[in-house]
Amino acid sequence: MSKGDISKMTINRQKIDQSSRVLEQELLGLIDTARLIHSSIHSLDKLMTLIVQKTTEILNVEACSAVMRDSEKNRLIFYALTGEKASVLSTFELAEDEGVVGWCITEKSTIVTNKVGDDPQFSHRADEMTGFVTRSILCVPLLVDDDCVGALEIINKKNKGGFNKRDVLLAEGIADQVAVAIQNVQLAQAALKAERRAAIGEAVSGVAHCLKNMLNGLQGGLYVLKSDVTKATGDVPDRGFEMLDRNMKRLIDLAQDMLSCSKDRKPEYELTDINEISGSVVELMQQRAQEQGSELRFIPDESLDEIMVDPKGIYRCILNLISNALDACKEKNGAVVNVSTGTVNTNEIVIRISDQGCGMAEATLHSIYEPFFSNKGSDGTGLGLSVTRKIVEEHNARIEVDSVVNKGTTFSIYLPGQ
Amino acid sequence: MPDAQKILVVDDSEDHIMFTSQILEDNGFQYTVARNGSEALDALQKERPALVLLDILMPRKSGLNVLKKMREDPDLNSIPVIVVSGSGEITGVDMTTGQEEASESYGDDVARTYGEFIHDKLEDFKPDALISKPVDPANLITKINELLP
Repeated sequence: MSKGDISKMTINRQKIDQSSRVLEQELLGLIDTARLIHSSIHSLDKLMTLIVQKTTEILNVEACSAVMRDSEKNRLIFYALTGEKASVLSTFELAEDEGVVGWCITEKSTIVTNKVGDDPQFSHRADEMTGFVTRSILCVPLLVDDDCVGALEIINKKNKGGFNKRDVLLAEGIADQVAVAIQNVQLAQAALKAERRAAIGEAVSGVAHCLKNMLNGLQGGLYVLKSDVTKATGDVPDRGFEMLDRNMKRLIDLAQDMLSCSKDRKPEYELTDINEISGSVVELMQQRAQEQGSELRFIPDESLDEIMVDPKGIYRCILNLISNALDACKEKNGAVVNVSTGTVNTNEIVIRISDQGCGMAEATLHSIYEPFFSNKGSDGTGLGLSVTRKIVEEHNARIEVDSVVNKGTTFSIYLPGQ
Repeated sequence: MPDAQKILVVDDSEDHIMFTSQILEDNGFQYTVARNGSEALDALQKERPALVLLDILMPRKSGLNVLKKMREDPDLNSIPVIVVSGSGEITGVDMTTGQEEASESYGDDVARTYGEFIHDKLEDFKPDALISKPVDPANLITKINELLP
């Protein structure tokens, strides 16, 4: 074998090595895109951005975009973009059949143009707008079942020869996976929508039930008041006014609970004396306790340090729990409700509301935190405990319940200390 | 023999009892009150009212329970019952559309709402009339007069 032959073999060997390295990189890239597609099915935006970036890398091109069909507006929208003019093109749109990409989507087939100047389908609008020079285009359709939802548009292969067969195969491989991902996201979104609608239906029905009972109270108050006014010879009895007043307050409470239930409420944390808040709720509820013949006691741990909480939220929790405790004691004359504070597990602060009321059965305990679950008949909105738990969770705190039928119930809120 | 004009009001809401009592008083009816299902069954035996105004969602024996017992008891079966409830399901307004559509897509996995449950039960026990809260006093009196023997 001559020297020349050996050097030829070396060159060939180098070529093979190089080409297998490229192949290996392409394969790894393809595996990466597959991983991406199966990891983030809940955010199409994020997924598309990552896919477009990956495609730019694997195919060694200057720019890439996911072009999606907006079937309502009959337009093509640039969903995710890479390349130097990406930000300029983010609001750019094409007509449904405009440009090489429009042709690809209409025909549902892959289109390669390595000399765009010669291609009558090429739209110059994007280049004119950005000053970018498009030399070659590879467009692959995104097919979901028989429907073409968009295309991957891959621009300017960095090497001289333009796009080759292998590029087409690679791009089609990516597009197929993207299409599956789009379908997954669409299915997941449809399922989520049905679930949300079901939840909204249930919530609306729950609110309607509460509202109707309160409106009945207002209607009743007005009727009783009118009836009393017609008959009164001297002072009009207070009962009609009282009924109106009571039901107005319940309406306000319902609105407050619904607001607390909504996600938008932001807790406002400040250094707070838990004893002061608990004490003020106990004071507020004292009259109601006396009216129904229950005893409401407050046993504060005076050594508690102030902690960072949302005082309004914690106030609402304690109010809901004491109100529930009093409701549970309604039919047991002389029953006691104890509200106490203390420290446990070295740095947790506990607020305990313990009653000697009717207690709850095991089956009831499973559902108490569900919105609109109530076993108080007309008196309950079924939102109190649901709101309480939401506020507790916002504080990274926990709530525990212990209940025995006919003996009583204890709710404990454990707030993390400083 | 039932008292010709005595009406049994069954409801756990004191406000509703005050409201209904006033309507009945103003229209010359006698009435008696039960605050839960158990009290209602006692009152039915003792007082033999001419008509029952029945709430559904009450602690300690629901109105459905009372209605079922009445329909099964030959002595109580003929007493007319007007269900007076705040639940959405008896107004004819369908508030569970989302739920139903979800049930279709997911089969039987989605639990039925309590509203649907009550709706089905009311179909079974057939009250003589349904009135939705908030109560319209004129409508209540018209229904009572129609149903009183």
